[in-house]
Amino acid sequence: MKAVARILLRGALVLLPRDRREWADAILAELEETRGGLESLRWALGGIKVILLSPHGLARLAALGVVVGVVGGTLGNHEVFMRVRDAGYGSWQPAIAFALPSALAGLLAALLVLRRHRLAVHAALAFLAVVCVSSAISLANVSPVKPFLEDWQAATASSDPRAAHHADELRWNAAIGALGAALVLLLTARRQARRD
Amino acid sequence: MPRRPDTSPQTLTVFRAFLGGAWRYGYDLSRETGIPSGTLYPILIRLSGRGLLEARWEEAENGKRRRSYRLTGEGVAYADARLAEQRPSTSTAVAARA
Repeated sequence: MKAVARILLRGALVLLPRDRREWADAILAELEETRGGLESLRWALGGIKVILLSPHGLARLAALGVVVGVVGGTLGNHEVFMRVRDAGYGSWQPAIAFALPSALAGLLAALLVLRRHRLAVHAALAFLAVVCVSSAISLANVSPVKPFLEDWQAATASSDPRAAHHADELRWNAAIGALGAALVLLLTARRQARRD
Repeated sequence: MPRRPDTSPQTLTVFRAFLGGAWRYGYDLSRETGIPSGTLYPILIRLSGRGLLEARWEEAENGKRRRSYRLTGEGVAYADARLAEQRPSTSTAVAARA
């Protein structure tokens, strides 16, 4: 059990930049003094909490969350674009062009936050601005979102009787998810920058 | 009304544990006070960040490095003051119960 606790704590340690690991290293060193598996696990979980709630831990977690969200969203939604393309509609191209700036801005901001770059907060702010614009377009359901989702509904109508409902879900989930991620990244990046 | 800083029961318990003036290890502090690592270390980090606590790495008997802590001079005075503030209210509460 102590080995598991050690692996968990060391895994969380990776979230911190090298020059900010002193306290986490101290918690890890004390892990060796714990007696019993359950106690060592409790000690490690407490240490993970300390790491995750630290300014650098939170910022890096948020940045990794954005990377996972962008990559996962791209992989998860690529089928939607492919479906529209395979059905012979052209609306998938402007839809991708619409989604691309948010994804790139998110990846760039996440990278700068991970590297604690001096422009990280500005990049996170720019990401939030781009996401605000794209979310507004998405929630208003205007071009290029509207024609793309209409084409998608037409392409899936035979296999998905609730296609219209799913299209609305897609719009709202993407907008709220992106806004939340961008806001969290900005707040944690600012907190990290204040500590640096 | 917002609580005065560093007057939580956990922080006061940590202050009491440090009052002997000796260097203390994190695990020993946790065992003695019953405060889990996830609560203890944020207190230590906060106190250290304000210059109330000093830390050093030392080599333990088993050859492993451990980090130990003690209150600085300023930290001792601060802890004394915070603990003294609590005593009247405690005695008032005891008197009220009696």
